Amino acid sequence: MDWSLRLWPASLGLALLGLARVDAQPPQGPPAPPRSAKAAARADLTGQWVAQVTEDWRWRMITPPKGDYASVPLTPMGRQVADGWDPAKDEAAGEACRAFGAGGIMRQPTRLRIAWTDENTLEIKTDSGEQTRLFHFERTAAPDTEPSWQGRSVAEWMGGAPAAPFFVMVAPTREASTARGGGAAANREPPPGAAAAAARGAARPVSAPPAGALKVMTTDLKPGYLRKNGVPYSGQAVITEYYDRVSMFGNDYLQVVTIVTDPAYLRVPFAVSNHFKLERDESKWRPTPCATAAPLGTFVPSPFLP
Amino acid sequence: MTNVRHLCRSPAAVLSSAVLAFATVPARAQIDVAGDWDQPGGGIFGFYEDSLDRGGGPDLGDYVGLPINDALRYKASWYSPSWLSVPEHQCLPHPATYQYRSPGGLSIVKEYDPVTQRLTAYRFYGSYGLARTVWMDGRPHPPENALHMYEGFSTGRWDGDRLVIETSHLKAGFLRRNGIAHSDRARMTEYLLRHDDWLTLVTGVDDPIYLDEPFVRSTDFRLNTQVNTRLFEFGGFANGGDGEGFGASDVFFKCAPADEIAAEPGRVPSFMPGTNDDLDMFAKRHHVPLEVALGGSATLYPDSNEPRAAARDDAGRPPASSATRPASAARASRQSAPPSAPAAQPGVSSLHVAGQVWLLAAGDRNVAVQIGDEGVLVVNPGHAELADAVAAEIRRIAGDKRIHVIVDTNDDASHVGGNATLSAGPAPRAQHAAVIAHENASLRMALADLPEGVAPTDTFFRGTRELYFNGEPIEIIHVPAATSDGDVLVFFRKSDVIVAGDVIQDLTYPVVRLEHGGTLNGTIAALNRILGLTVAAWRAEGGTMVIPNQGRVYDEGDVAEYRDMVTIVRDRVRDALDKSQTLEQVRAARLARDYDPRYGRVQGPADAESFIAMVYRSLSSNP
Repeated sequence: MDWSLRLWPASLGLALLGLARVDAQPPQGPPAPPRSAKAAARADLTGQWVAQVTEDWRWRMITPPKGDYASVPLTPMGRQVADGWDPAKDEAAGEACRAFGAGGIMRQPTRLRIAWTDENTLEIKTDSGEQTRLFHFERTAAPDTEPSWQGRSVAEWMGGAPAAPFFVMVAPTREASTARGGGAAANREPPPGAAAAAARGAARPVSAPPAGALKVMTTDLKPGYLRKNGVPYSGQAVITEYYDRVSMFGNDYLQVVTIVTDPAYLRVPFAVSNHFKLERDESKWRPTPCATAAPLGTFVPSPFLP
Repeated sequence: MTNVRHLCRSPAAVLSSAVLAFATVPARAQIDVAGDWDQPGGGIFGFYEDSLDRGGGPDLGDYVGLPINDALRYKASWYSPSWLSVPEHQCLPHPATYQYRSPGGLSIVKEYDPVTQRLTAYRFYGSYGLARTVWMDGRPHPPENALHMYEGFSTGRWDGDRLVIETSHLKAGFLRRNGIAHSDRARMTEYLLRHDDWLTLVTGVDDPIYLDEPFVRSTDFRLNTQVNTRLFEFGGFANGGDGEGFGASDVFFKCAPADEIAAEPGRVPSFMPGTNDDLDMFAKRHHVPLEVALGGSATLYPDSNEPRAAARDDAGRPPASSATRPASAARASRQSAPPSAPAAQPGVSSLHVAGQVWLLAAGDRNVAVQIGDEGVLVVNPGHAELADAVAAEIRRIAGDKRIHVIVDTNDDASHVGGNATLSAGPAPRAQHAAVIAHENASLRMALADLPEGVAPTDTFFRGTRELYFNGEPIEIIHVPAATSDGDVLVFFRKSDVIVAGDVIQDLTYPVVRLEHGGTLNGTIAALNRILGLTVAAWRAEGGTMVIPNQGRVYDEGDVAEYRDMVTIVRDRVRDALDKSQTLEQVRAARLARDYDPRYGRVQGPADAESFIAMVYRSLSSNP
């Protein structure tokens, strides 16, 4: 009999022993608490970001005419609501923030300040409309809250916790580290302002987990506007967002994908994406309260608009 | 080998190795992006952002939200949609920088090496047919002087869950379909982000010629799980289309220019400065000030809300005001970037172009070399001081094959300086190479009192000199009164390569030597002659290769771009001449300011001022 065949049960046993050694480690002290969302962050989203409005400018930067809901998949009821938009009425009813709710705020020409308020809550403040959004990572039962402009947001890092080797024999190679840790970004010096970011509660400047996205689901919303001209979403709307940090040509950008699902006013999910540029100079932060604005001109449908 | 066989027979070793290997391989977090992706709203027009731009097309004068500089604003302001009627432009594909903004879906396919079973590339398909490859095997980008393509050259790498794509070697192409175009110096970085069943392509384009800062935008897609067996169905039948028109026609995969209107050959439609009456189309329609509608970095940011107070302005005629606004700090800093002038670097490098033809970059000049069974043919040996280095490089790529023929495309010393060195045989009694030039060039060389051995040994008077060498027909084509009265093109018919000589400079404006019989109109005619010889392989790219006097390899699309530039500037100056403007007035108007960042930032006869002066003088005597 081949010697290797005589030895293979022993080899297998050794290998399994190795695994068992990991799984059956005797407890050494109290169990480690689960990693906080901040510690498990797959992207450092903290800092001040400014919107770059390179798409849909005429719908985002100015207040478009009433009835200009082109390319929004509204239901007949949604169109009816949009056609009845009256900014003066909103103002009088104390609802000037309708265009600054979670369904529309990230499309506004605004600056964001993002910071961790604790280990499991990420906060976004906007200067336009002076809104505050809180992204909760803890899976606790949602308290009974009144609907609000920003609703209740539950967040998670996509891809779950970074997977670690379950039997670490050798340190990861540099190549592997690069592949997992963000390529060139992982080898860079901490960016200017990293110290300030840390003071705000930023995650580690060079994060160990592989780069990934933040997923946020928001419910319990007050009815609001997708566009400033009264294109509506209802209180039944559910907003799914994905946040990524990307680097191009020496600049850092926050990329936000927003998908609004609304059985009342939308035929199908309405998906848009836009970006913000990291702003090292925080002096341009100018809080301004919610306000409605009169539309510019009268909507004339384009014959070419799909 | 014995050890390998032994290892394979040992279950213990295999199992243990597998366990250890699996356990020690770092977890990969990549999410696959391959698959068929549809517009977020379904169907071929189911996009929710920039729907007018991406559907029917943007208004003229809608540059808002684009970080363009004054040069591009000026260029776009005189863009005429009739430009697309030019034969060389009728089949233009969208460049990779714009491709995914078009209707239809996106199909991403993985390609594996059949031997190693490793992922080598992602291939992107979509409407309008621009197939694109993103190499994942770590290969380097091509040399700087290699051909540029509409799809560019792309390599990918993973950054955690995200696929990052870097693209170089882009041709000039639209960023918005109303004349807003990036130059061939643009580079692109993309992030492909997959979130559940959604895919977002974030595109950043940086262009030192026309953008003040990178232009970033994103395009969304939704996973399509239907079976698509034919690409045209993708975005056609399968995704809500009607199977007709968009996405269903071969027009997006094959295209041949057609003569649909009677137009003078070589005509390049463009508005003359001050005559585009529709430039305020967007401003008027949306009640924004014209200066905002005409874009620039400031219009991207929240602070550009402020001009809203002045909205409802009935925008006036813009040209002068828009194009002479003071440059922002960003613009100023970008425009003061090092010039893209030909760097007179010593040393010679070679690049295979096609068939038997190579390009040798020798300092600030290109030397073309044909290598075959019979020996070596050289077009434009280059500067005398680099002749030894050129000869050494030829020996490196051609071995001991002898140089039999030299062709000078005109009498310029930067072409003919190396004649003596390269034509000399390897031994004192060896036969020298024949040096062919047009008779006019030969006469001018004789007048220039050049060193011994430089003068041509073989000249011709007629339009074309034919030659059969290395098994291929070669045409030496005289282009009368081009940059001089002795210019020739050299057309390698089997290799399908044209050497353009001074007719195309790539890095600079053409240098037309009026005192040597050159004319601007003759140069434009020569460019159109080249376009008459080139045949694109697909749409406006590939196929016949063209070697300019300096810079990178061209194809039909590139020659058309260069021809357009010279023709449009010619037409503007001619328009000024028709209005009896003086040279000083023409200079002050900076009529080529849109092309200066690309071609005019050099010292010497090709600089912006000298070029405009040459155009003015040439048209004054030869309108």
